[in-house]
Amino acid sequence: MGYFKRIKDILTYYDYEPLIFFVALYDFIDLSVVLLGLDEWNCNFFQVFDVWRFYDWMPFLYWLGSILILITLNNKKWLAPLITFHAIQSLVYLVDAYILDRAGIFEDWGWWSYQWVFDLTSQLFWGFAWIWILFQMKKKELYQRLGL
Amino acid sequence: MDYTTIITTLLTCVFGAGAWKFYTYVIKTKANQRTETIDQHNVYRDDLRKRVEKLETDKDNCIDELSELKAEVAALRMKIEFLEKK
Repeated sequence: MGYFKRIKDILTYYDYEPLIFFVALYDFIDLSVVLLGLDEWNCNFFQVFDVWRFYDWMPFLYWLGSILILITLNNKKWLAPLITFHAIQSLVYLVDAYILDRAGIFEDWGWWSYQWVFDLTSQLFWGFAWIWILFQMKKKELYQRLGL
Repeated sequence: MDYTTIITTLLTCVFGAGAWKFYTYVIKTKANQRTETIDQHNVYRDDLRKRVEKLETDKDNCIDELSELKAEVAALRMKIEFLEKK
């Protein structure tokens, strides 16, 4: 219980900037591995990029967003819209993961179903993390503007 | 990306923005109430300061008058004692 209390205390009393840094860094590393990794034809993501495909743009923009967040970490003017965009993208991923990828999951419950639940949970966590960061950011800005 | 995703995302964004507006309104109202209370306290404090200043001046005047009266009483007492001896 002490562990969870410590996490709650950190989220309540500490500022959000270190969290942005580590979450954005995780996104950058995770997506870099995915995008720069080679497929069975020895091609990476950028070599097979299709400009007309929405799901090619999504990870690319997410990856670009995480780089821009890391670069503009000390610039609140740019950071707020970038994080808003990132949070909306997380939301799209979450809705997509629930709606699109669940075909036949419940009818034929198996390994892929657990994979789907895991993907959905992780996406739910990241979506929640970005929305929480965005809320904390806007809240701090509001409190500073009102002189509270 | 199908229509369900677009509509769900749009609705979430719209409701999220609405919830944020409401939260902002609540915080601003609280901040205004707090400012009003502080202003009222300041007015009361300034009024008290003025009253204390006035009372201090009155007190100094009263002490001066009291000293004069004490001197006059002492003089009169001496005069009475002198007349009684005579």
